[in-house]
Amino acid sequence: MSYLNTPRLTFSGRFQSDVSTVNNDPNHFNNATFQSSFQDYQDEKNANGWWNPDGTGNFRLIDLSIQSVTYLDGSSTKDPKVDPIIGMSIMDTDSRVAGKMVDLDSQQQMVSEIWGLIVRIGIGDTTFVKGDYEVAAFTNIWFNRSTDKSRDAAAAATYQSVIKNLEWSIENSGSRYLKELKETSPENLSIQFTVDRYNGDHTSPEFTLGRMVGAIGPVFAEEPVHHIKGRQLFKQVSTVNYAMAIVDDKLKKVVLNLSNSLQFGIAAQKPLDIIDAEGKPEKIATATVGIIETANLTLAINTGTNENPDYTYLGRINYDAPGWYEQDAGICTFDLSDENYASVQENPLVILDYKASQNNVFGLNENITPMWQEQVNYVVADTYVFRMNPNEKATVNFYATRFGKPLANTSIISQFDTANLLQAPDNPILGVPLGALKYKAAVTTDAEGIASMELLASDPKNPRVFIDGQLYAITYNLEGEFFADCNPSNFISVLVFDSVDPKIIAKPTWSDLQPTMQLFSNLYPIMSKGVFKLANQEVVDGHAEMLKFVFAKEVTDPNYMPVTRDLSKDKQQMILNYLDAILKEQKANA
Amino acid sequence: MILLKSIQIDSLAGLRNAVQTAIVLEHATIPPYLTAMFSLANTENTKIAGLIHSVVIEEMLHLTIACNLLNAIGGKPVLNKPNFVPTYPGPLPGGVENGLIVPIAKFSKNLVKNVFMVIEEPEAPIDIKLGKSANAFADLTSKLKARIEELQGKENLTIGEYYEYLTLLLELFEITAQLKGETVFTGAIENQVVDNNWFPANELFAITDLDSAKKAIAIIVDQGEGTSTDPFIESEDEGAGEHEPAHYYRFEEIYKGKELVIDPSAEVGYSYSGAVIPFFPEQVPNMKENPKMSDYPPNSLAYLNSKLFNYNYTNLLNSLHETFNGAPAKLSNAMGSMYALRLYALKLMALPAPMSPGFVAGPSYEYVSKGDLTEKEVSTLEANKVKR
Repeated sequence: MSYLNTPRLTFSGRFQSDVSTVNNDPNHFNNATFQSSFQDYQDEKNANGWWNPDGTGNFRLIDLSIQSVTYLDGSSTKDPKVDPIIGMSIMDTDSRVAGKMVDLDSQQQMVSEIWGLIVRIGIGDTTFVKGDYEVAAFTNIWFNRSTDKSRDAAAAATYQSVIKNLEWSIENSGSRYLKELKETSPENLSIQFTVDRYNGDHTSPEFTLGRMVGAIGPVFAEEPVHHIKGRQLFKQVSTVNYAMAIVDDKLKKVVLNLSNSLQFGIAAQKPLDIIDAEGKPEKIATATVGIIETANLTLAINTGTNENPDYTYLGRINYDAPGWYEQDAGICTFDLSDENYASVQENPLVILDYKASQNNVFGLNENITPMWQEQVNYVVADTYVFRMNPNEKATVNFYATRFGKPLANTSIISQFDTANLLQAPDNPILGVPLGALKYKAAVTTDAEGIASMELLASDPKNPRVFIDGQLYAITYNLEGEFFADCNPSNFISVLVFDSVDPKIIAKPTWSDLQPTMQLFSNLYPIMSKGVFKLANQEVVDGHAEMLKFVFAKEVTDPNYMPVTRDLSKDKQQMILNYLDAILKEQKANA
Repeated sequence: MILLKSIQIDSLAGLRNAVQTAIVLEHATIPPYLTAMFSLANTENTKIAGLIHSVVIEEMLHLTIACNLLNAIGGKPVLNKPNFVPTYPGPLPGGVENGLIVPIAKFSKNLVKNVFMVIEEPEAPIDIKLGKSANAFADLTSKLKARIEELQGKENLTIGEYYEYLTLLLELFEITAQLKGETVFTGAIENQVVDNNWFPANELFAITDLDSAKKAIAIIVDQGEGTSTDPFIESEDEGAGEHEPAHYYRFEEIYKGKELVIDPSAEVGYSYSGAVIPFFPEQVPNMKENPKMSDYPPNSLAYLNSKLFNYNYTNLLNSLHETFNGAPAKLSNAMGSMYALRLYALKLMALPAPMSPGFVAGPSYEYVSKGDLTEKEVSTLEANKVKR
């Protein structure tokens, strides 16, 4: 079960991502060639520190309000008189610093993770349920989501994770929805959201803000955390993006998520009634941004083959209805007859465009374009982003499915594919030495369709010279298939940090720390401008207690330093040992 | 000099209210001091910034001590309500009308002279008057009631007298309780905040009885006002290796531009003849005084950052409230938010103030939990209240 199951709520509003961008250029990691202009905003001529050199890394939920709830029995409402939770908020922390959004690495910026986020459901200072968002990376990014925008603003991506360590206080909420949610899923909740239309223009009042829609629902332990165990709809044309669905066995419905699947743009010239200066009514055409309405989308089951399809239609997708995106968060439901429920267990779903079928004269194959087709056999790595230190192990959990049901006793083959997935010209070389990351090339799924692959890291010995550690990309596929049959957004990204000489870790001097501290100072200017000049020994020594506190934090803590989460365990220990020695010395002198 | 309204206290509940007033007062000085300090960031005024910083840290200590005291005597500190935050510009909470209006303003020497030094002014600043009794905390039981009556007879109290009054009452109530085999120190020791990562053990310790309570209150008074003969804080009341003047004199150092030193040639034994404390006013951002979130159009970067500052400030108060209500470990969350507050303030001070040419924006210290809501959310909230 996941956010697509019931009881489910949808929400929409905005988010803030105040990411720091000096570290977006790998060459800025080179202390020897770093220039102070790399901390300036970019201008017409120079990239400088890119578009937000003063970024804090803060990630916040802003103005998110609950739009709809769907109860356990499948009934749904958008009326606050029916369920008072409608119109209330999805919020982040009310009593600590904001969560953080961070890239894995300067050379892998396509899996940015959210760390230390708290999610609350409530309103104002009333919290009904609150918990910790488990660290998650985005997936399914595409850069042609919004045709009226360019670059990052045109992009969209999704995050799926769970909210854990839940604290409930819903007694006075008067909400049937919250009562059902607590009864169904008291320990964890599933949450998914789509982010897009991000504003990276530092002169705009909307700077660092973007749009968010999402859904929250129940979760059970056997489910993956960051994906649904369901039906995977692969795009067949370049103007759409991945979609996914579940078949709800209890309610006999298909629940389809198109939140990150359709393009937005200047959608329509909608007439607006206004009164002109002489008091006469006047109609003025205004351009509005909305979903681009080009296709007549219908969900179907294909009981034939791809070459000779035979479609059973489940219903039109009313994505053009007013408020569909913001209120339903792109989620659509379709009832299944008993016959169709049986059929969908063994036949793929497909989303079609009927250009010529305005009379609903079905069966005119020549007028039908498949826009999405289900990938029948599918495998995905649940967590696909790893930071590892030498001699550490990590586990990749694969979930293999066929028609959304576990695919047992099947081999999953993995291979390095760093050069194809991550390599960029003129930047430090990636993916070598191969031996610094080991894994078993083939693993077999159990009865639940789950297979675990262990990653084992060793010291890559600083192949990137001025950037710590090395990056690797691993692709995977079901035996006999190709990675193209998986969703390529979900390849495994691993950052393996370098080792530090244990003698240096044990007794570090300032000159051992200086390059690392200089790097933070260069790459995260807000810290030096606002709090501590980390490259300055006097400052570091003088604030040893405070720095020890933040450098010793758990990486999941929003106060953890460095915000960028690119510090190896060895260097962390070296810094802590240095600070301890300073503190000891200060105490002795006092 | 700040004078507090004299209040008649004849019960433990009344004493708890008076300690809550002290908590509100200790907090109220922090936003104006912080703002002045923030406005000196990234300038060459580091010495001045350092002095203000040292005062702010001690005000935070005083806030913590006052909360510990209230917890020790079975009260519950409240920091998470909108009215906990005073309105700036305005008088300090609990004070009598004396014409002092405290603003949120960028650093200036006039601000130090006309506001900060007035806030911290002892009853008898050394350069004006000498010779009052050195030990205000007479602990002879027979004298207790007489001194309490004397203080109650006064129309207004200095901050020092206010704390003295609290101490005497505490002593009286405790002695009375002990005669019955009871104590007023009924608070759970687990609720005491004694995180010595932030303050040394001689400054921050658990308040569990009369002695520790008196010692803690003495730190607040000594750091704030000093004694009437020595402008420097007594060594047992400050961190290891420190030798700092009381707040009033630290601010006067900034105003005079030289450090305070022992000077046998001076009439009172001290003079501002130490190292120079330079001030470069042209480097201080021209922050418009007493900014408010509502000054900025909702569609402006200043508004967005003001809202985020206030949101973070509210989070800070919420985390302090949790810290002082049974979760002392959450002090580290509060410290994290303190640093974040600074970053938000600096972002504001780097933005032009909308509709005020020549000025930059600034922090407003507004408790936003409700103010953060959109109109629709507020109406939903009201509708739900009726329903419940």
